[in-house]
Amino acid sequence: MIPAAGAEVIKLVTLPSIRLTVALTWAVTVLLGPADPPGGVVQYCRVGVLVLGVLAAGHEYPGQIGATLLAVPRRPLLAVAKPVALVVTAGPAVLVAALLAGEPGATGGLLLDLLLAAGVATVVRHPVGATAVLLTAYQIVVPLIRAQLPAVALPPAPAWAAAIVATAAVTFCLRDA
Amino acid sequence: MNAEPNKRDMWMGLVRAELLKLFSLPTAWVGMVLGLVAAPALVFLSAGGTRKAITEGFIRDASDAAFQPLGIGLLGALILGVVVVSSEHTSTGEDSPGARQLQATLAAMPRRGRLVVAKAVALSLIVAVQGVITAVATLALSGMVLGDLVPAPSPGRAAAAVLYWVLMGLLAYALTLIFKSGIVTLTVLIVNISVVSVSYLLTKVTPLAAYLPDIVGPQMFLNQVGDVRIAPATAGVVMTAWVIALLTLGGWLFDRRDP
Repeated sequence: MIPAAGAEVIKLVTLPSIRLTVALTWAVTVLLGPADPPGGVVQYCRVGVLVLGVLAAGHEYPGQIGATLLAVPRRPLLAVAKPVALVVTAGPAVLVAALLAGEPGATGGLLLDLLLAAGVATVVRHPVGATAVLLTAYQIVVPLIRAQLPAVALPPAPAWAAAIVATAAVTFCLRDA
Repeated sequence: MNAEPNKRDMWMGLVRAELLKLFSLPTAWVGMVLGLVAAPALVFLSAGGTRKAITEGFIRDASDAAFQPLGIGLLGALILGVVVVSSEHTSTGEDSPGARQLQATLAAMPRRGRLVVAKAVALSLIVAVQGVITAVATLALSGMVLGDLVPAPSPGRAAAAVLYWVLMGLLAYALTLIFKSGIVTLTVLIVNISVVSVSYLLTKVTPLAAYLPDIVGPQMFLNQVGDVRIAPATAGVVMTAWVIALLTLGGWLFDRRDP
C-alpha cells in the first residue's frame, strides 16, 4: 500500500500541469480577493481544485495507465492508493488556497470537490470531457437548479463525493484499462 | 499539363475530412447533443422564474426573456470548438502513447494554414446548423411556455444569436490553438458564461471590460446585459474583431510550433 501510494505521489508532484494548475489557482485567488466578488473567492478556488482533480486522475488516459497497471496489477490496491496519494499531495495546496481565500474552513469542502473531480475523471477517462462535465455541473446546472427550483433538495456534498468515488473505484476495478 | 489538383476540389476534400473526423468523435457528439438540448431544457426549467421576473418587472425588456436561454445553450458550440483541436493532441493508442493524431493529420495536409482554415470552416458549418435548429426550437418553446408575456421574436435577432454561437465556437477553437489544451479553454469560457463570470467582475472595475468577448457578444441579440449598453451592430463588429485577432494569433502559433 505505502509503496503504491508513494509511486502515485511521485507521479503527481512531478507533473508540470499539476504544478501550473496549483500556481494559477493561488494566483487567481489572490488577484480576485480585492474585487470582493459576490459569493466569495472560494468559488474560483473551487474551479482550480476541480481541474486539479481531473488532471491528477485523468493524466494517465489514454496510454500511461497500461504501464501503471503493469507495475501495480492489483486494481483494488491502486484504486485506494490513488485517492490517498491525491489527498496527501494536494491537501496542503488546497489548504493554502483556502487560506489565501480567507476561508480556511472551506478546505474540507474543497477536498471533497477534489476527490469528486478525480472520481469523474476516472469514470470518464477523458480529461477534456471530464472538465466539461464537471464545470457544467458545478458552474451552470447546480446554480440554475438552486435559483429556479429552490424546492428541490440536492444531496449534501459528502454524499455526492462518496457516491462518485465509490463508482470510480468499482469501474476502475472492473473495466479493461 | 497542370498537376495541381483543382483548388475547389482540394478545399472541399479538406473540409469534408475535418467534418468526417468530427462526426466520428464521441466528445464531439456530446457537444452537438448538449448544444441542441441545453437551451430548450432551460426554457422549461426556468419557465416559472422567468414568468415571475417579467410580471414583477425584474426583466426590463421582456423580449430578452425568450433569447436568454440561448446564451447558456452555446456550451455545445464551445465544446465543439475545443474538440476540433484537442482531439488532435490526444495520443493515437495505448501502444504508442507518444504519437499524436496531429502528426497523421499533418502528414496528409502539410500546409498548416490551410488546415487551420478548413477546421474553422467545418466547425462553423456544424455550429451554424446546430445554432439554427436550437434557436428555432428554443424560441418556439418560449412562445408556447411564456405565451403573451414575450413579444414575437424578430428573425434578425435570432440570426444574430446564431452568429454569436458560431463566433463563440470559433473563439473556443482559437483559444485551444493558442493554449494547446482544451482544459484551459473550457475552464476560462465556462466560468465566464456562468454566474461567477470573471469578465463581469471586471466590468465593475473598468467599463472597458464590457468589450471583452463574452460580455460584448450577447449584446448582439440581448438588450439587457450588464450595465453598459452596446448597439447590436457594434457588438457584432467587436466580437468578430476578437475572433479574427485570436484566430490569427492561434493560426500563427500553430504554424510555428512542433506538432
